[in-house]
Amino acid sequence: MVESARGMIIASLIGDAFTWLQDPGDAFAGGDISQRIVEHLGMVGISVGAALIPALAAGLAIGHTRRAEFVTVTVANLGRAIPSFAILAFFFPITLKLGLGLSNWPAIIALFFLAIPPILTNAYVGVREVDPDVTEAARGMGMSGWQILRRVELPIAGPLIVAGIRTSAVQVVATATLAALVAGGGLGRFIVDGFALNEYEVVLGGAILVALLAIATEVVFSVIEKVVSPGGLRRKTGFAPVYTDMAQTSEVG
Amino acid sequence: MISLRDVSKIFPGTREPAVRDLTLDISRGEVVVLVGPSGCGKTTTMKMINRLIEPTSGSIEVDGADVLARDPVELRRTIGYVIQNIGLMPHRTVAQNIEMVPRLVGWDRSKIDARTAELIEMLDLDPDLLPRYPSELSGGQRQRVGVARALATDPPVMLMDEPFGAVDPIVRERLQDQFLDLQERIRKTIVFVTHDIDEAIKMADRIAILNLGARVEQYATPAEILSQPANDFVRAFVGIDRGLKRLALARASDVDELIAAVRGDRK
Amino acid sequence: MKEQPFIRWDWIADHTDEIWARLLEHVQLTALAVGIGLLISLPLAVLAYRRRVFYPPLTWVTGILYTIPSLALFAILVPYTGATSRTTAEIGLVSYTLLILIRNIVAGLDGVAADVKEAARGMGYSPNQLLLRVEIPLALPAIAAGIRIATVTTIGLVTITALLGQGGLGYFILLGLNRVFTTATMLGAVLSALLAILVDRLLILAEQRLTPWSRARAA
Repeated sequence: MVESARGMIIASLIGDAFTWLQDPGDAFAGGDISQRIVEHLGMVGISVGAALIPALAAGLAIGHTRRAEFVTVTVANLGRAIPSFAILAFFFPITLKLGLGLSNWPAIIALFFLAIPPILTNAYVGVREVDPDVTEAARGMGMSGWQILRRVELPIAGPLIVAGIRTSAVQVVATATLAALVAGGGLGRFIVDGFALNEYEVVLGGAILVALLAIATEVVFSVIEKVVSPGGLRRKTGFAPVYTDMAQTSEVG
Repeated sequence: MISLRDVSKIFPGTREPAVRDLTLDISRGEVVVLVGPSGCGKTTTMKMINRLIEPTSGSIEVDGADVLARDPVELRRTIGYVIQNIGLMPHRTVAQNIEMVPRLVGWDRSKIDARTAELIEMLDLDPDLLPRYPSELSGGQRQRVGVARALATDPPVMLMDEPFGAVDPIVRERLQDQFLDLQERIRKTIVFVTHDIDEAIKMADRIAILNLGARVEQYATPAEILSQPANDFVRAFVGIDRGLKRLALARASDVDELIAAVRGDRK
Repeated sequence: MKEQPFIRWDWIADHTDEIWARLLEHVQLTALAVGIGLLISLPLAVLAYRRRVFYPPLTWVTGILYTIPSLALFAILVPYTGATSRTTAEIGLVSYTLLILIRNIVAGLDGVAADVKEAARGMGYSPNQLLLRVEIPLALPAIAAGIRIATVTTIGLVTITALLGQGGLGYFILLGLNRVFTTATMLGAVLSALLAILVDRLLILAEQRLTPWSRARAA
């Protein structure tokens, strides 16, 4: 099997992949494309959506009060250090034990944890970087802490916060492919099953779909980021300045 | 000592030259201050002398030698260079900063140490600062280390671009005074750039008032510029209170002349 | 049927040799990938830093590599380099380090204060002297951070190479998943996470050692 695969040239593989994208035809691996896309987006949506609550709350609180700041650094470092596959594998037996059977749950739980650090970090940095003169003026005017957060810090930090969610979402889109390794669904199924069945055009096709989805996510959030930018403070949307990480983080493993 | 002949600089993509046909002569041992509004080309002019910016045309000579014929890197090691933010190497101690050019040109340790000690004394710096890092120094101290560093190989020529700009007025005044005292002793040829006419008047042997394109509106001693401004531009640049500025220059006061000068400005 | 305990500690005790061997394998794969990655990245980054024109294509190519989910990259490499060879794993691993390292090295070099560079040039440093004595030393914190991030990311990716027959500690994860053997899964997961965290901590300490001047404060 591998011998015949070795004969392929890259160009034909890419061509085959695009053919497959348009019409799976005889290729067996993975199942229905649109169903998998929906599944994939579902996992991303649930995990990132759920992560928003604790991550934003914590990031905003720490940034505003400037207390327990070590938490953000710790979370950022842990989030980057701990292998995604490890978290995924960790939750698989647990969900089995909880009787959830073979499902997307281990993946969703793992992705939830993965989604937190960029959102938390950016929320924290965003609030913290608000010009202290501005907050001082607000306090001088008689705004309560809560009001300052809501009316001053949040709008100014808005773009950075959205950038953090964007980074998180793109990371999760890429990492959700691993769900297929623990009997989950999503676009990773094409990669894993295609590999198992030597249908390499399916593997590549799946990868292309994930990449496209990641790019689409990036674009959507970039637009939201621009929309959320307060008029006078339009900043260049670049890479979300994750605390100690300068590379664009599209989580890969 | 330094002569610029028809020097021009056009930056790619711009229509107007930053420096147009500038001809200027600077004598040995004098402090010439280039002063003018933002964008007039004073810093560009200065930087062409050590070829941090290459002239588009014209010739520049230092001590009779054509600057453009020499290797720029080697040229810069013979010219002291001080900029506004100093640019001390943050990862090197004060001593190591001062030693930078001597080490580049290969001095031996004893010569370097002797010279460093000399510079510390000249610049009135505490020897305890030598093993410290720049981040531990105050603004005024950093400025002085910057000057010491520029003087390390005792270059005949110094280029200084707003060297005292990054400190508060009180510290700045002290630094200016110290520098004038130093210059009294060492008599370097100095090209000094500033946007501050008061600093120019205080520091200069001669001032070149530059307009856009580094056009020389007047090139004369501070006293001449104050008492006989060449045209309206100079007059406006120097300011209506030039009579008072002249006061600062006056060594022996001629009260009537002073009053007349002040009154003349009240028109 | 007898209920299996969640974690079989006796199994772990029996297999300490293998665990140790896999741990070492994990470290080796990581070190090799980061080492090679650094060797490739450093000159490329300096090139991109000095000649801006190279930066966009460089980040473009490495960016594309980075967005490919690791699973896919390894899977695609297999028909060309063989299913279980270390080469497949290393090619994939090195590719991922490239983007992180190149980006961080260039950002580090860019981050050196403009007036420091100008002062050094003005004093008569040649471009190479400037690079070696000023720019790279001052970019070291960023470069070190890049190495740390690349290393930690690679540790994670190595777990996935288990699918290619490599994998270090990922071997146990895969073993556990294939045979529904919780002990192995947990062992692999926890150990690889601990390894990553430990290495992260150590590298942070090393980073701090590199920059004594930034922690000295004005008296």
